[in-house]
Amino acid sequence: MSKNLNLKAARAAKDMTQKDLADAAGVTRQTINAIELGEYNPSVKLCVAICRAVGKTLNDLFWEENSNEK
Amino acid sequence: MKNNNSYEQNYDERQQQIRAKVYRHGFIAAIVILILDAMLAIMGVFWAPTFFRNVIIVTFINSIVCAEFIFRGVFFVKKNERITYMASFSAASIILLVMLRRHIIEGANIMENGELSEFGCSFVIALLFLLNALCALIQIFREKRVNREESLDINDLP
Repeated sequence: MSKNLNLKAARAAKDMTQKDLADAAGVTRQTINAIELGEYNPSVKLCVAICRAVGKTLNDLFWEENSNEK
Repeated sequence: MKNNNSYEQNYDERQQQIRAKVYRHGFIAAIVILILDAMLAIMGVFWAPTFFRNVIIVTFINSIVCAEFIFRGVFFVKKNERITYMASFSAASIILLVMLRRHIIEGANIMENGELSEFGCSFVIALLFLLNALCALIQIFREKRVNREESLDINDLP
């Protein structure tokens, strides 16, 4: 799984630390770190909580464009 | 997301998944160790007095499961729990070692007639307690180092 740079960028744009985002989403900082590093695949429920916290949509943060798509 | 229906509610979804894996590892380790112990007993090999053997097996399995929990960051919920845990196990270990000081000073044998002596068993249990305390101590330093690293690292952003 690749790094989730969209999430990192959205968090940085909101001037939030991983801890701030973790508190807003109700998880630990390590979980946010794992999602950003692409080491953990979050549930839809957690994805929605993260999107709400950074003010983005699921598409903005979690949709990966397939390079093979035409 | 937090699960609202049990003790596990203190952990988020990623931590709960990891904890489930660690429990599985502990369960498998327990089965393997108990089978090995039973096979040794059937072959007439007794590595420790029966009571201590069971205590050591339980303490050992508990120690390795706790160590895995700690190192995978899914054991402590609050920050001061690490200190309390480390202090408790350090104290238990030190008390046991103090109680054994006479044997240690006299250089008593850990093994007697091919099996752990009573002193040896107590010494092994003290070491397992010390291992638990060390795991918590290492994790405290690891987390301090991680917290120092910038969580708002934006160097690799597109």
